[in-house]
Amino acid sequence: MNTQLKSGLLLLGGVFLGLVAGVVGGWLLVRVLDKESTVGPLPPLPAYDMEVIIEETYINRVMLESSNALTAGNVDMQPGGAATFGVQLAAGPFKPVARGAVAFRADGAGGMAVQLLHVKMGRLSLLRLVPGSVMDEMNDIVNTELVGRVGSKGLEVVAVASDETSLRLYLAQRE
Amino acid sequence: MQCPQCGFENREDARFCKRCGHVLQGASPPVILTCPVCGAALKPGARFCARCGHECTPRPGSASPQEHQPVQPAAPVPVSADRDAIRPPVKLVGSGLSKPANAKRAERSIVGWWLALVALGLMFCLSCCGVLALGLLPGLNDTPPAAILGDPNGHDITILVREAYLNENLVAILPEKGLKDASLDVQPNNLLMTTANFDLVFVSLELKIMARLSVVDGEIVVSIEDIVAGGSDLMQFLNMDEVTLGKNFTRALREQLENELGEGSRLLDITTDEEHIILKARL
Repeated sequence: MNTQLKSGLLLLGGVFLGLVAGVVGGWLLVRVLDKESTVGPLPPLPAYDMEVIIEETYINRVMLESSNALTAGNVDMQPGGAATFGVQLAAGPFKPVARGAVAFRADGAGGMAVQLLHVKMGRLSLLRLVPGSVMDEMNDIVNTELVGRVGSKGLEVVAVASDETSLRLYLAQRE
Repeated sequence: MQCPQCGFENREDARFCKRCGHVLQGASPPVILTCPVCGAALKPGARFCARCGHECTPRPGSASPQEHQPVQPAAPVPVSADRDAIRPPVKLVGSGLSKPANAKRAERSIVGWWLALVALGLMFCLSCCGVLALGLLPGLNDTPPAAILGDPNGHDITILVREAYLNENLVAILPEKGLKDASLDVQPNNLLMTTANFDLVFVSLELKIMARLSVVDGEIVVSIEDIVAGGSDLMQFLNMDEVTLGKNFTRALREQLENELGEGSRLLDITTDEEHIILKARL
């Protein structure tokens, strides 16, 4: 066979194989990234001394003021210690919108823990791509701005709940 | 060619006499091919060495086996485990094969494979990114939900302080001297009824403080509505008058409630129900 013809066929084969492999690989990547976390139901309410009801509007304000990377967004509280969110990120010329859900729980150490249940940009799940440091930072902000600003020093979060418009923290005196 | 032994007339290119098998003089000698790697003798037409597996195929356009000169088989060399590393270019012993032409052909073939591999890699990356971009695309065209920020003058948090919690801390805001027990009863309409029992030497006396809560300019105000001190004996025992007792109680209760609000908060409203003091504040 002519050497040039053989090279051309090889090139064409490479292009075609690469295309097929890329589409399959991309699809597999999308499938691998597709992940959702789950949390158990809220535990029964323990004895508490103080109930703090934090309005959804305040959470929205804190969220938008906490990071320059967010240009717009909203947190919508849901019953059962959960919330859904939609935020627009400032990513250079693009303004992608990410939507997701978080769960609020008492962390057992006197604070509140926020867990990301799922986050999607378009149809692509990004939960596996969110670094742990981002979640740590989010938990720090939440504990500083929500938990740290209410209750005297001797109180700690023993339970968390929510309804359609607010987040509820139940605080008790440290033993 | 005539056989010098039996006189039989053989073909001109015959190497042996067809009748008696005598070696004919002047006939072309047999061609012995050897492997360039291990030196093993190759059978005519063999493409690979039977000992080391080296490819010994003559390329098209190379000299015919008849042109090869006879040679003695080379001494066998040990076959290395890494044969490919020491494999020399294909060579037919005694041939007039063109080495640069073969090398060029091999180079072209390698370049072709490399191009195909590069194209494969590029297309893999491009189409993989394409699939991911297709997934992300709706997110780029999405409109974010409008933030619900509420009334700029409205409250951000509501704190419900339980009566039981206030009772636990009540002894801290009452005179310690002779205090037996105390209880605080939260009542609707911002009223607090505090009852304390003091053990005197021969008699027990009861102190009742009725206070009302309100907010003035973001500050908690505790107004004493009434103090029933069980007669003057209790005040003498406590070494204070009703005004001082009221002030101390007011200050201590206000400090406790303000502690629950945290720093930087602006109190907007205070109310009570049967069991809670309810503070509403903006953070």
